Amino acid sequence: MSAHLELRDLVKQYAKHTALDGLSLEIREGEFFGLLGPSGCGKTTTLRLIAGFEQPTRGEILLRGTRLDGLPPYRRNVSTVFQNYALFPHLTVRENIEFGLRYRNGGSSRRAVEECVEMLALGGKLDRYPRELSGGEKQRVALARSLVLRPEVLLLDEPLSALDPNLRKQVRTELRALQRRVGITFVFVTHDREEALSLSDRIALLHSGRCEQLGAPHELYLRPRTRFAASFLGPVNWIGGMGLRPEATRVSAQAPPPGQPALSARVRAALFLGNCLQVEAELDNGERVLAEVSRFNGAYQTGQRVYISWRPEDEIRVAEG
Amino acid sequence: MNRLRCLALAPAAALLTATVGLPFLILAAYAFLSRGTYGGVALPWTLENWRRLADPLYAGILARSFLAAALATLLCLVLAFPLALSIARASRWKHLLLALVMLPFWTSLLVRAYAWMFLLRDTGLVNTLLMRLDLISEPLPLLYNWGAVVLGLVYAHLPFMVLPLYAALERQDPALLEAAADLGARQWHAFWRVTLPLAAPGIRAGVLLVFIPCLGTYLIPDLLGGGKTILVGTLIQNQFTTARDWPFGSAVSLALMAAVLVLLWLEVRRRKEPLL
Amino acid sequence: MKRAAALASVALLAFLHAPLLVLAAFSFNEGRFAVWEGFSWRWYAEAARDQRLVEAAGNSLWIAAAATLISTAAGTLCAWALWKRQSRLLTLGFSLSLVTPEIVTGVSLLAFFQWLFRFGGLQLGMHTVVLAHAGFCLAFVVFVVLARLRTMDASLEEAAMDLGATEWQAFRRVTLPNLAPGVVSAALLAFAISFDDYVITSLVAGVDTETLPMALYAMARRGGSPVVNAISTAIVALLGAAILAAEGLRRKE
Repeated sequence: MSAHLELRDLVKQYAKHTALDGLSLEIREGEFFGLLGPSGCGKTTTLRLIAGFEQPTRGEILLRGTRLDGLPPYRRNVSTVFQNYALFPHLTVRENIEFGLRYRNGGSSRRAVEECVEMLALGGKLDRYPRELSGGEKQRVALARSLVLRPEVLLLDEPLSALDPNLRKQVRTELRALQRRVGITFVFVTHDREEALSLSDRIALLHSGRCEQLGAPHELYLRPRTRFAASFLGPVNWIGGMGLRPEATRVSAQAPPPGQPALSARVRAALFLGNCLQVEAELDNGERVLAEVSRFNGAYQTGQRVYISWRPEDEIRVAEG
Repeated sequence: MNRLRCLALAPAAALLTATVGLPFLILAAYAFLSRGTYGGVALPWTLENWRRLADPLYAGILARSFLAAALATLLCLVLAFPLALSIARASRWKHLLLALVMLPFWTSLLVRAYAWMFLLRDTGLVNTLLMRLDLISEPLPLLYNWGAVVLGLVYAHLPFMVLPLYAALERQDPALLEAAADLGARQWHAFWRVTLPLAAPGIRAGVLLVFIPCLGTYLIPDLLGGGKTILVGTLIQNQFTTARDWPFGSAVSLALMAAVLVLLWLEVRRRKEPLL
Repeated sequence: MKRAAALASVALLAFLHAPLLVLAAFSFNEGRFAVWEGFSWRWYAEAARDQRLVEAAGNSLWIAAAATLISTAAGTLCAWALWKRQSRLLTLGFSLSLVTPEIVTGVSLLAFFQWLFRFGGLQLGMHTVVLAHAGFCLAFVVFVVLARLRTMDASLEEAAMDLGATEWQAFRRVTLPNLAPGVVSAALLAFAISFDDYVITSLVAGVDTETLPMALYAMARRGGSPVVNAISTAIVALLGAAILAAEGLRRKE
């Protein structure tokens, strides 16, 4: 597959710090692409550079092989869904959706509006003002406002963060279905690993203005290449330089069959979490491990001697020590 | 993008240059020129205008202006504090009370000065009332003196003191006073050792906001002092009108501006955020 | 202590309002002196018959309208540009304009205009008053509009550009409509400040132009009269209405 949107060696320096330090990425046509990272890693800057709100200090942005950097936002065929949606408060839902058609006419605009309204179930809300909408509705208007222009790439800045936590899981599913339906390349920014893992076809994990690792969600989670990547995507037990996710960490009262890697340990605490038991154990060498085990495997007492074991294929091996 | 921003700035920048920048440059130049024969200015360049500022007559006017402004500021502080405290501690109608304080401030300064003339002059309401009640036989000389000027200054600038005091007091957590009482402080001590020190930024801002305009005041001493009480504002006005000594008037103006800017600088230096 | 403070506050509020209220009451007094003789509109009628006062009021309205228009247009654009990127020089200029004593502003403008007119053969008049007023209203407009802009979501303009609008179109179609209450409130404030000014106006008006505050001042210096009470009350009512409207708009949303 060829690159649809390509970032080449992007550098963005501000007066006091460097936000991006040579970022290169190739984003494929029609994929749901996640930019994941802690705050200050440069992910939002990347989005703003693609949208054209800011200009890179160095480097190139190419859309289908054509340079995009240097163009003002209104001359780029990409569109942004803002974190707080940035709906125009003085315009109705319909006027918000039709706003861009005045400037970017993608042919049969009337039909495009109707399609978007139908697709995002905004039929009854067209005459309302943004302040009269719920959080989820606001997001759907913001999506419609951008999608009606049929952009090449849709940029989403923390698309779920402004929503009520109870709503997030549902919207996540809807967003994923919407992207499949319209077939447009989605690039979204998030600091939430669960969001990134569940939504993305591929994820770029950013760290200090560079790409730490690029890959499919399961690759990043199961085969992180660095300690940072392993820790950022989820809790890890570090046992003698090797990493182990808590759910891959097994606890047993009896010694496991010979051949399987195992260490003896003492239970420090066992917490009932509802769907599982969380066992915190101390290895004989003093290292602590956290294990999430099924509650059907029995109960553990503090101080009890146990064995910690795992399957060799669950080991996480990272480059640095 | 940048061109549009420059275009948007241009009208205001031009207006600011024409009404603040260039006039100040002219004033600065005039302050070092000599007096023209028929008013206006003439060469040669001189420092004479600045030397005259040290003349006891003019130095006295400057000193008196400082004193009058200081007295008015002190009175404003003493009067405004209980008012600001009551509004800050009021359970309801805070905004209404604040609006009541601010409303007279926004209505014409000229009219407010005249309102006091209407009350205080010989045929004014106070004298008429007192004479009708046979408490006095001759009208009291209430107007055209220092007392009237300071009264007018306090009246005109009181809102400037109330507002920053209120802002500082309103932020104070009422639990602090309870804590002070809990630790054994009596009401008065709690006020003295907790409320007042915490209101210090508000006090400083209020003092500045009252002192600076009082220092440069012209209209109030002119109307309520009746020309008998020469302050620096009146001095400047005289030099540019009746006395026709523009160079000296310019020097006095610059000296006044310098005093204002030094006071502002002292305060701005103390705080991180800008004053405005 | 609380009760004492409350009592002092009531007394102080009375001190702030009584002079104007008494003045307003006596502007409706039938008699000429400070003794109540019955309600009457006669002093208002007399003021309206005075050709000089009517002309001065007309001048004041005209000047205030022109100065408001100029300062609001220039100040709004300037605030918009400053919102996007600070300018130390301009901020310093506006701050200076706000803290300068009126009398100093007045004489500096007088000196500047006189110096300028040596070359142009121009004279002081309405135009110099309008320019001076537009100048000192400008800083107020910029600060009021800027304060309003700072409460606005900066991503709205970005969103508009993202959807294809140029920067100017984004300002016209998104920022300005949302800013309107702030702009109107700034304009009302500018109007009130301009209409009320005496000190600067008297210095730059020249000999042929008289504004209402100038006429009022002249009459007050001569000791005042019931007509002055009437004009004063009318001015306070006009400015009070403007300020209340401005404040109402500022608080909206």
